[in-house]
Amino acid sequence: MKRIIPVVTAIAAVTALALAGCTGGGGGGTTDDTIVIGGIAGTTGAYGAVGIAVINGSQMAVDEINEAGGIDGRQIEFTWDDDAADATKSSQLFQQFVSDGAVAILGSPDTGPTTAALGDQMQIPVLGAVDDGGLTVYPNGPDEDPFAWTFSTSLNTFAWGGKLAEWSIDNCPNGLAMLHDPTTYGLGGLAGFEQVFKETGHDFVYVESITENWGSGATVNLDAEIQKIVDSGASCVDVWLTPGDEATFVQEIASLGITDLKVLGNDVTNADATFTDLAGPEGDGVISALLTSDVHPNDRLLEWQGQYRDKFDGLEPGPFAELSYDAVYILKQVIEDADGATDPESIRAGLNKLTDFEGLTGSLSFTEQVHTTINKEQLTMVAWNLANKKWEPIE
Amino acid sequence: MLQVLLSGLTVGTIYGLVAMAFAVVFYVTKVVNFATGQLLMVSILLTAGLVRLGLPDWLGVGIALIASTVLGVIIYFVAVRPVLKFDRFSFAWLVSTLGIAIVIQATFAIIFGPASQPFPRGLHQIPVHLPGATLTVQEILTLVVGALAVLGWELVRRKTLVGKLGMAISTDPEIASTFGANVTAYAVGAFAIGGFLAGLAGILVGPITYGNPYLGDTYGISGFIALMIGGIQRPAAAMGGGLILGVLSIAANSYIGAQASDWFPFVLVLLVLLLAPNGVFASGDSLRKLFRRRSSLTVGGRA
Amino acid sequence: MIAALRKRSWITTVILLVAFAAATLFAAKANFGLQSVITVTAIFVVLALSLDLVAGVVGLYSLGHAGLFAIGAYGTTLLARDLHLNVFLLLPIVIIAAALVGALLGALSLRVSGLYFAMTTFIFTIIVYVTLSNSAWTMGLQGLPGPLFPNFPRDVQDIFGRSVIWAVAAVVLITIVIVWSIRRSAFYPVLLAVRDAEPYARANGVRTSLVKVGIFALSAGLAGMAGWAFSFLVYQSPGQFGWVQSVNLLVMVIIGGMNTRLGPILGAVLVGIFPFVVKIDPFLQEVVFGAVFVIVVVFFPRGIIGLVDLVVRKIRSAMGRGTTAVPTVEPVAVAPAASAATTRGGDIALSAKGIGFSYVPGVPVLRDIDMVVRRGTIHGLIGPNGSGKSTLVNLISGELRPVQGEIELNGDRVEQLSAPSRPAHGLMRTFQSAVLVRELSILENTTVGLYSTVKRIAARSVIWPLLPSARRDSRMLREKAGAALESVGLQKSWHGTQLRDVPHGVEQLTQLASSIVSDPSVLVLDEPLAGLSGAEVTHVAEILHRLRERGVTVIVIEHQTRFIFDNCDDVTVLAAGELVTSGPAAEVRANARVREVYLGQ
Repeated sequence: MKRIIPVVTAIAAVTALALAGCTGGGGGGTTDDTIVIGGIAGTTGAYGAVGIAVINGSQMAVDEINEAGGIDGRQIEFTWDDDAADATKSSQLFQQFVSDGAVAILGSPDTGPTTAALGDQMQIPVLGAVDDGGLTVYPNGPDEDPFAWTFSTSLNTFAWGGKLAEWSIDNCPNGLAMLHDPTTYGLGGLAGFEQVFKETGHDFVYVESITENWGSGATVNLDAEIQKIVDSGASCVDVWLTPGDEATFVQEIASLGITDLKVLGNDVTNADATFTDLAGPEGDGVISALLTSDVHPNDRLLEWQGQYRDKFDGLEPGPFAELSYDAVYILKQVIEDADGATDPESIRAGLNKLTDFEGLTGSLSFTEQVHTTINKEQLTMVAWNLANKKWEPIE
Repeated sequence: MLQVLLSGLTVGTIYGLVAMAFAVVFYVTKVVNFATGQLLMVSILLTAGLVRLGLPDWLGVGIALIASTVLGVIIYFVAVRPVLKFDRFSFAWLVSTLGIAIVIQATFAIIFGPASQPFPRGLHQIPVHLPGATLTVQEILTLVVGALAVLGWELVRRKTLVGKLGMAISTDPEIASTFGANVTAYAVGAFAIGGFLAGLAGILVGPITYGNPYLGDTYGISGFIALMIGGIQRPAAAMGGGLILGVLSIAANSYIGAQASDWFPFVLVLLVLLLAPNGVFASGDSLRKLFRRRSSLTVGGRA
Repeated sequence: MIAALRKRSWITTVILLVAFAAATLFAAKANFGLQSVITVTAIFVVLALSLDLVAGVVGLYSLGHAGLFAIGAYGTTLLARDLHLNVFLLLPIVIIAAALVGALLGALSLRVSGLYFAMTTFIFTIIVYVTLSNSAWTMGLQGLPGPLFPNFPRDVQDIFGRSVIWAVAAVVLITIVIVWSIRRSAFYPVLLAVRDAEPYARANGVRTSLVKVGIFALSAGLAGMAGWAFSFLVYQSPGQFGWVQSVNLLVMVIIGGMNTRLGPILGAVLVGIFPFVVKIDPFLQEVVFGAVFVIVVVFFPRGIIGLVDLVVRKIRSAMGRGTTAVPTVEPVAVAPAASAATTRGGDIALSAKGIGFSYVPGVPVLRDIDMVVRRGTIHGLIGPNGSGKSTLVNLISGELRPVQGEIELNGDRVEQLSAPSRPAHGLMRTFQSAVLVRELSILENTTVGLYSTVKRIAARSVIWPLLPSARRDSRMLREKAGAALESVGLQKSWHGTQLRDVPHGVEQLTQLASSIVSDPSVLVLDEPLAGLSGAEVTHVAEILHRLRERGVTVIVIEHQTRFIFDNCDDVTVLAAGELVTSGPAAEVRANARVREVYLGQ
């Protein structure tokens, strides 16, 4: 036994050296010629499609900018990795990209609370698809301060919650029931509803939180919940769950023969085709909100979507790709406005002053207090039209 | 009340079938196959994929069941048999079955993509209204299949020579092999039945969920908990554990709150473990014997 | 020679420490990315080592380590956030908290079996996970950042780099010192005996349940310490502490090699750096990761260390070494030392009065047994199969407690005391078929017999090689065990042989040596001749006579009546749970009922 110690020690040493070589030897970081940007997103797992959209959208912007000569002549080096929706991996990647010289981190749509908190801790700007905005950016609620270093161009649960709440007040005579998941995603939606309800003196007929499995997209048994919602007498229900569970919900109420319950969705319902694919015929008529820019795409967006499909083998673009594309261009503008300064403090100051940036997802602004670009005024109410396979605007 | 009971039994039957898949394998080989959940996933995803390609539902289901059964046997030969051959009492199978679970999951994610796929809704679209409860034909089918699985297993085990030899192997493979029982054949059979039961559970749960490569973990863990409630020694008891878990989860959901189903089953399992260490349905103490034998055989084997 | 060896081991230690410090300095001055990979891997190393301490050394497959890890990490984060406690004050707090939880969990779950322990700890992890994800205090599934670790002062930082790296290094070093010390201590053979040979350990005075709970508590404390360090390194959310993490840790230990010094470390390093070294498509990476599990375990069931071991052995045998002549058992040559046991109870070494016992009420196994064993005699206990002689021995040695009657051992009433308390009263026993630790040498197996003579062996084991008194004890144990082995005829050439490589007779003699090594005044031998050859039987008889010469009282259970009547002074005969007769051998032999019931005449 004693004899093997030197052998193993040698193996361990070689491994350690290999490790040092692999991770320590990276590029030169941000220099006069290059600007490093880090990207973190969950590209595997049941909802890996969102992470892939984030990476693709960012990559597309980076490629365009580099082809057109870069930012003030400096090329962008975009380095990204899969966080597997795991906080440890996300933390490790964050620190790795910062040491690789990244001036800002894009993402993560899957571990937003991690990147937002680390951005504050390490004083590095975090930009783009940081979960679904909302509570991830404003951890203490919509009326409190946001994370100082986090700037979300992502879909914003506060905005969707507020918009859907306003619609429900006018269109649900017997009130609204809500079923939401207990992460910042569901709680953000809840906070959006609550804000509007508080202002207008309304309340939920019934509200319940239900734990879900984002990793597998596995469905929980919803029968008991459906019964309670029917018993509450609500005329509408907002289902703020995974797209898979929302699809299960509409199918189950159809199986149970319930027809007089209007189903509302959330920001992810129409962010990609997951919900409509899974829900099938029972998805017809489900109501949600959509970025006005997506409902009435302008020529620039249509052209961009064409380019996206060409670049990524026909992959359908969606809001997560669009808003990640915008994030890179926002960064470009901020650096250019600061005469090429790429230190974190300059970038943060620039982001705090961003006004009316014309992006694919609309006219975008940040202030010291507002660290999400999308608000409920940029949204339009839509319903799924099965026959046309389209989300169509409703009154 | 009736609705809670029936919904709970339906879900519980699914958990119970997965638990039985674990238990049948454990019964013969004393191995916990951590890829059991992945076998369930394989049958769901294959059915969804084949139906999407245009095959009729029944054919998709048939192929998927065969696939999960065969895959169960492959797992035995690739990940279990070599390990047991080296040392019948080592726990290395924990790593190898887990490893193969990861391989299956990632491979299916590469083939089918990580996103969910719709599963044919089939019989789940036909509601049956009872006084005080509504079920679908699919759910009734689930209950029937669950009952048949338990009855079939018990009949074979108690009434046939094959089953009695199986019991002998389960008690002591070395002695059983001395009077002619082919232990390998029984192990292959156990993994095949395990794969089939897991596949069956997948087909039955498919219409209320979706095809997704990561489903295995979710149902694997539920089945594993059911296994512990019921007791790992007897497959029929594992089904009982599934039913208890299903009914109590739904009851907790209905009477305590939606998130109660997160913690209630686990607190229950902890109570079961503290009060009835061998599971609520276990009568004997074969597990204790197994572990006593383990220590005496590994150590003083030549006595 | 020994001095030179010790000097060399000191030099090795110093070199290793310097290398460790240099590696830490390198890490402390590396970039954040490399640091995060190294530190998280280091935390895995600590967790894997702590898990191997329970899984590998005492055979308890804990799936609760992720939960215990969470107690350390969340405990540090939440107490620092809410009570603003100093992070160094938090270290002992979370270690003790995790250790207490571990002790409680162990005490509740260790009464049935190993699998039951695995299940209970598994559910424990799930409950911790569910609690963390559903509580507003812990920020639910969202998670929360840990406290900041205080930096070195500026000028110190310039030299030593980032302070938290040194904290992690200290945690790793403490864990390695504790775990490796235990592995080198005199307690280690005892722990393996607890794992593999529980009755043997109990008969040698080891309170096995207490030892298991204690080791699990220690392991839990180390996991809590890992959590403490982890809280400074990364953002925390419940997902990092789920049951998958528990299973991952077990995977690291098994892949590296269970119950080895370096196995858990290598396993943790492999799993920890895998995603950063194998940079391929994430899905393909998962496939490779899973395949590595299968391949390692299928081809090298004893892990990476098993593989290295195999290679080393191959090289050595290719170099023509490793073939040693098979040693033989020598006739008893060394006269045993005079018995040191000062005993009470006068001429009566052991007496049993009115003993009754039954497993099931109403079905007595033993009825009203009286037996007196005179000091300094060899006392035979015979009876047909099922007569209850093994039960009587188990009552005498404390494995069972009588329903009725009293047992007096060297003048003390002992019938209500447990088996591990017997050695303190001067009684040692052997078992019918030797159940010893196969992976230890016969010398190490014998040292287990001295367990009750070494003071505070468990407490000292965590820093054993650092204690001069412990090194003295180790030497004393080896000397005494060596002498005991020689006194039963096993010469030096045998002492280093692993038990798995020795013939049955030698195994029985080893057991005998370990039962006499602590100079008991009463020795109970349960069928010591089972499976021995004729020559070996003569050999054992000779040993028994020598023991009697020393004043040791010997009780022998045996089937071979000839051996009994040739060698025993007194004989007790049982039949069907009742006493037939008890008295001097010649009288018993002449007893008509004995001839009828037992001798079949």
